[in-house]
Amino acid sequence: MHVKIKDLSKIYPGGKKALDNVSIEIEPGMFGLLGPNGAGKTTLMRIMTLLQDSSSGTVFYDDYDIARDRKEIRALLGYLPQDFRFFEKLKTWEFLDYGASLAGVRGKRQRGEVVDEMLRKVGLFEVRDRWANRLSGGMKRRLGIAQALVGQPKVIIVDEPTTGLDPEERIRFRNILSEVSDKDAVIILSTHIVGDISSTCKKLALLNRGELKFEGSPDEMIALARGKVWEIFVTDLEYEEIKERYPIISTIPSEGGMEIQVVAESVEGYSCKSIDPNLEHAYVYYMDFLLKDKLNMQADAIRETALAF
Amino acid sequence: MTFHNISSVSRYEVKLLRRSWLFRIFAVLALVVITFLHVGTQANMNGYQWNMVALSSSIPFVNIYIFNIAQSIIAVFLAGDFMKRDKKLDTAEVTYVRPMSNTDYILGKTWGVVRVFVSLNLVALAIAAFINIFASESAFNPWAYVFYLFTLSIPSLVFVLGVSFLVMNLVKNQAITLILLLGYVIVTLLYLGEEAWGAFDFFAVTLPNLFSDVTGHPDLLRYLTQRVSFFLAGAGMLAFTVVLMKRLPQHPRKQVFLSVLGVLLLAAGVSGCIVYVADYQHRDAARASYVEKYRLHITPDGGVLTDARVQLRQEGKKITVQARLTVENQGDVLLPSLLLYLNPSLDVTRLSGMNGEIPFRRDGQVIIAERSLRPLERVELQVDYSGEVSEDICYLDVPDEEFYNTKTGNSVLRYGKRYAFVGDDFTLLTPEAVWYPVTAPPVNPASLYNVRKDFTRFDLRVINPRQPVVISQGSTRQEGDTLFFENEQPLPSMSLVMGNYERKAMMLDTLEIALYCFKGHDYFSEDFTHLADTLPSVLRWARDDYEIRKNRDYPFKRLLLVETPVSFATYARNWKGASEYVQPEIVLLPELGATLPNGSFKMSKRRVQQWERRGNSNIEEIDLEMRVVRDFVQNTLLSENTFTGEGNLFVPNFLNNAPGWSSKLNKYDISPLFFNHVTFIQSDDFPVMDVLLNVMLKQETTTGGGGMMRQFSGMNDAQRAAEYLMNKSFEQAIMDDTVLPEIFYELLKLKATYLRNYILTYHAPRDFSSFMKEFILQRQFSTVNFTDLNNVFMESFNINLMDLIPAWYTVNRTPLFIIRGVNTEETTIDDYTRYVISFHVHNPTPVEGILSVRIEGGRGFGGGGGFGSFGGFGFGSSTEQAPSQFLIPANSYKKIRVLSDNRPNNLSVGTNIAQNLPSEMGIRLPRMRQISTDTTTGMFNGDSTLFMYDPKEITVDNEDKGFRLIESNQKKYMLQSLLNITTEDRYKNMNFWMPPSRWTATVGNNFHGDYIKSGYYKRVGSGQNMAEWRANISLPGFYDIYVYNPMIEFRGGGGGFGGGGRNEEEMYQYYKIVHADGEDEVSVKTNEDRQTWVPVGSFYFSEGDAKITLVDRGYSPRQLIFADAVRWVYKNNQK
Repeated sequence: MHVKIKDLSKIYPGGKKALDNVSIEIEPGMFGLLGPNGAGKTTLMRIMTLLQDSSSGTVFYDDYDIARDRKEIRALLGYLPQDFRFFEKLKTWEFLDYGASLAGVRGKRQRGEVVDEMLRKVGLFEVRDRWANRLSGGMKRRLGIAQALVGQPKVIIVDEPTTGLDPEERIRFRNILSEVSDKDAVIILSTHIVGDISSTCKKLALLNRGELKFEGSPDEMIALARGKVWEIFVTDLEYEEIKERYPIISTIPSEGGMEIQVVAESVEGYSCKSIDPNLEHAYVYYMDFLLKDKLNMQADAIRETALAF
Repeated sequence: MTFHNISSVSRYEVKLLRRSWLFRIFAVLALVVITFLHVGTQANMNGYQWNMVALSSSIPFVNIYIFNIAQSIIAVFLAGDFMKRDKKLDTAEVTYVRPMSNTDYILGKTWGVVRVFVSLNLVALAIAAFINIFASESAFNPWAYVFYLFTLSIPSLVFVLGVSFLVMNLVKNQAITLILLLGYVIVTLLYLGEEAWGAFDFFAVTLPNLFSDVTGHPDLLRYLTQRVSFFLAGAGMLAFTVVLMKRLPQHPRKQVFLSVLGVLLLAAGVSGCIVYVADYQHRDAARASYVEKYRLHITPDGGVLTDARVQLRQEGKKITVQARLTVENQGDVLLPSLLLYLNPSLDVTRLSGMNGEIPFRRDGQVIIAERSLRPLERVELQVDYSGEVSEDICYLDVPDEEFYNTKTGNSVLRYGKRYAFVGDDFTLLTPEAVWYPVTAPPVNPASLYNVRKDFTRFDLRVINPRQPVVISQGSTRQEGDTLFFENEQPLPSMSLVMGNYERKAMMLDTLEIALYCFKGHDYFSEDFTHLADTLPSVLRWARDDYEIRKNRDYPFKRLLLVETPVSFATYARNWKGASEYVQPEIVLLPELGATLPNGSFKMSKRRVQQWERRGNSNIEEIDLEMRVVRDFVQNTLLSENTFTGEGNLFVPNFLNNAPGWSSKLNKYDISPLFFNHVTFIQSDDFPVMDVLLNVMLKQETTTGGGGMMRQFSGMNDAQRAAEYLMNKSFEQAIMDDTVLPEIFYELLKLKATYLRNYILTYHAPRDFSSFMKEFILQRQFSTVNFTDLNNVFMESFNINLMDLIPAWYTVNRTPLFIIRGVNTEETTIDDYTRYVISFHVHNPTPVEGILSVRIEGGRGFGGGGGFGSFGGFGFGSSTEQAPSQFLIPANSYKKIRVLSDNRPNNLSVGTNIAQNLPSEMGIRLPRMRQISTDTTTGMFNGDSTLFMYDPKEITVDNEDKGFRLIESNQKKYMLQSLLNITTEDRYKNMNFWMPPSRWTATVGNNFHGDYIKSGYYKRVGSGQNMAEWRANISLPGFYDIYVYNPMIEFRGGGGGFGGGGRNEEEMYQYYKIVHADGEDEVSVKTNEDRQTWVPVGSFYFSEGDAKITLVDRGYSPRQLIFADAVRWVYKNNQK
């Protein structure tokens, strides 16, 4: 299954441009969609899942076009929305059964088997008879992904799946997704948590303000930040000063001061050493230095507030 | 659209719905209410109303009727709820991304809701079926259960869901949607339902929908048209819901298809409703055109149909008839053409006379034959015609509001209104359908009373009848395949009934009484197993008693009681004097007695037994059966008014179990068989005379009604009729189509009784009765000219009725009578103690009036006894003494003295047509009697001083200017009166069960008053509401103060409510008296010294205003507070 996003734009009534001529090609496996809040990730996903229309451009699932072949495309999809609650008064297995039934799994017995297998896979078999809305946060997420996976979809789209999960649940969640990604399915993972992507995705795209800013592998993105991440030991006084000059990625207090990591083209006036960047470093470098986005966003915010008054 | 998807969505919708608390609560409530109503009104546990169970479709209908309304309300709530559920953030999106179409989704949801409601419906029906089979008198008809489920419940549900989904999608706000939809449901139930013949009534609660076992649904095609229309409209709105769904469609082009489908379905639904309405409008137009044709063609002169030989053959819905008629011109002018009237959809194929074919033209129901008729010439005609009988020609005079009103009392059961039947299962043709040609139309819409009644010698032949039993007037014989009916005397009309009947007959001397009930409908024989030998004597007793009371003999040789389908309807029409249920020789009764009072003999027996048990006596089975038959005959056939119980459901059933007489005229009253069907008194100047004289002759010379009735009357129809005549004449009333039939009937009675009483002021009742009986007997089954009657009357009584009648017809004022100085004297005549009762009467008006005076002995007015007499009254009250009549001239003072053989207790004065309220005054006679030797009786000049103003005895009544009410919450009452659009009577009936919380005016003999005996009453309050009497004192001094205590005894208790009140419970009213020395509060014990002046003390009053105030604070919480009259009686001026 290949997904091809072609010249996709979305302009909301009122003129807000949520997507601007985005084109991405996605191969089987996990694909990360990265971007800050408001970058257009959710809009892109909703268009891809046929929950809303695009203003122009289209998305192809192999040869199926979202403008034309909705029934066929829906038959390929599994979707876990970002903010997802359950119907009251449905049990865990029933919720999954409902999804399976709508996904086209026919026959009560067959569906029962599919549902049970999926419940085992996500570790919810023991609680299959519990009301779905009484599950813990992590369990709910797992049930969410289970319903997205049920019926063997070819394209699975998950929106911000790990938000609010504890590390253990997050790892468990990533593992489930990785397991599925081995089966020739496309998994599109939209997140602003870089860690989710770095550990699972072979390719990623970076969206910002509706535009595609980067498309490639995590390594390619990391490569861009090589030599731009520094570790500095600073005193408290220096910390205040350096905070004004560079984006600080991490701060570890130690005796007589603190060890900090910053992203910068170069650091002058401090004793520092260059360290190997990870995807998070690359993301910060990308946003702060290549796109100058943070600064722009602050300026925008000030302008919007002024206009509001 | 795939079944799998629809089924998946619906399966989970069902789960969600069933698990919703909202639904569960509603469902349980609905089932509880339905079960409660079934048990309360239809199960034979405690008591049930026969009309609620008589028909086999009653129980399933009531079940689905209630369920239908309940489910619509639940569906409105749930539709909003689950559309809201779909709107929850991202929740629905996991469903929306699935490969199903929007149609699948909405259909799935709808199907889910329908499944749940149908299941619930099935549970409700199972409860109904259980009660039906195991605990009711109703036959079990599984088909009706299926029919109502599919035609009543499901279309309503689909429509409500369609509307709810659509409105929710358009409005997008659950609260507003809910308000809109609930508003729509309520408006439909309360107001819209009856509009446009039920075209807006998606519940179909206003459509007739009960099945007759014989003729089935009363109006199936129209009903199904309406139901299918709402179903389609609902489906159309569901299609729009799909279009409006916030989800991208699978195939964008399908949106167009769905929109078109939605439009088409909605259009089909609306068109169905339009067709439904248009059908009624067509009917309306047809009726209007028939009215117009009567207007065009009816003339005062016309041929009289003297003989009619009708030969009828029926095939399916079609009749083919050959009618040989003899028409005579009994007038003195040449008739240029011959007018016949015949049902407009019957096609006349040939009209011929002795000399061959007579050219004719047809104008609707009118046949205009080109054949002139000279005075006193007779012509023989043959009319050949065939076709189906249209029911639209029937009851052209009945206003649309009533004609299309299918209500049966307060009942939810509507049986429909059919006026004629022709079919292989059943045929019923009455003169109203004009199924044979006549020369006098059955109705003259332009001038209702101006209609002629021809007495015709009928001869009917029915060839090869399709049904086993044929019923018509006359004696029957069969020759070959033809049934002959030959009449012994001319009749005003002929009717025909054919059906699958069982016949039960007996001879009562020479009178044949036969009961025809449909095969399998003998539900009553098992209740009368002991009566076989006694029944003739019971009926003979009934007949003899009735004949004595009505002063007439039954004029026919047979009386046939014939069951008809429940949908067969008729109207009580004053101008006709008889409903179509009562045909010469034949009384048509409703199927299974469904709408009859006491239709269930089992229940009647149970009631009598309970009554007897209460009186600690046991009744033998045979006596019980006799009593039930007697009550049935009395209540159903021999009473003028309808006995309640007819069509009262639910609320009346629970609130008021006591049966009683309503003001509705009884359509089964057989008095027309003694009067209206026997003679026709023709008067060109006063066409109302025939009906009026019949009404007069039907009235018994004694007035019935016990003291209780007079006390509690409030405003009844008779009093409303008298009120009408206060400023309008009888002539105006005849023209006034706004007068309700019941009130007009009372008006007829008032005018008729006035006429009779006028005659009786000069002659003894017995002479008059004998004269009338003899006069009519000599002229039975013929038309009598009023002038002839008057001439004979003059010869016998020396009274020219025409001296009285013109004024009587046009007078538009009524007198009033004030009575004072009532006295009783003991005297001796021929060694026997006798009593002379005297009183003074003043008529201050410029019109004369009649007083009917009767002395009553024995029990007093307040004698109690409850309403218990419903099971116990006999066949009349002929033992009561007839009243004496006195003509009181205008502006006069008279003294009346009457003699009583027995020790008198009460004086009853009927004021006939007067402003007095109540119109019949009951006056308790003084106990102390003087001895007198004066035995003169009659009317003398009276003492006017009795009626003069006396400053030493000042009475202020609640009707006087000096009286006013002080109410605590004026604003609330103002709002109430603003909201209360309907005009109400000024005086209300006393309500003991739920007394009003504000002062309410009522009339009754227990109250004080000059000519309006009225007072105010309310339930006991906190003292915030008051009544105030003010008098102007011109003589300063000490006055004895009296207050009038009108308290009445009820059900053997005092003036209490909520349990009847108990005698031993003390009740007081508190009065504040403002006098020269200050203010005093006095208490009056009201359950002593009732209906009399109660002294409360002496006080000194200076010149000027004096005030006495009653506060509504009582002593007992269940007490009623009465405000009536206060009196100041001058004592002396020594301070």
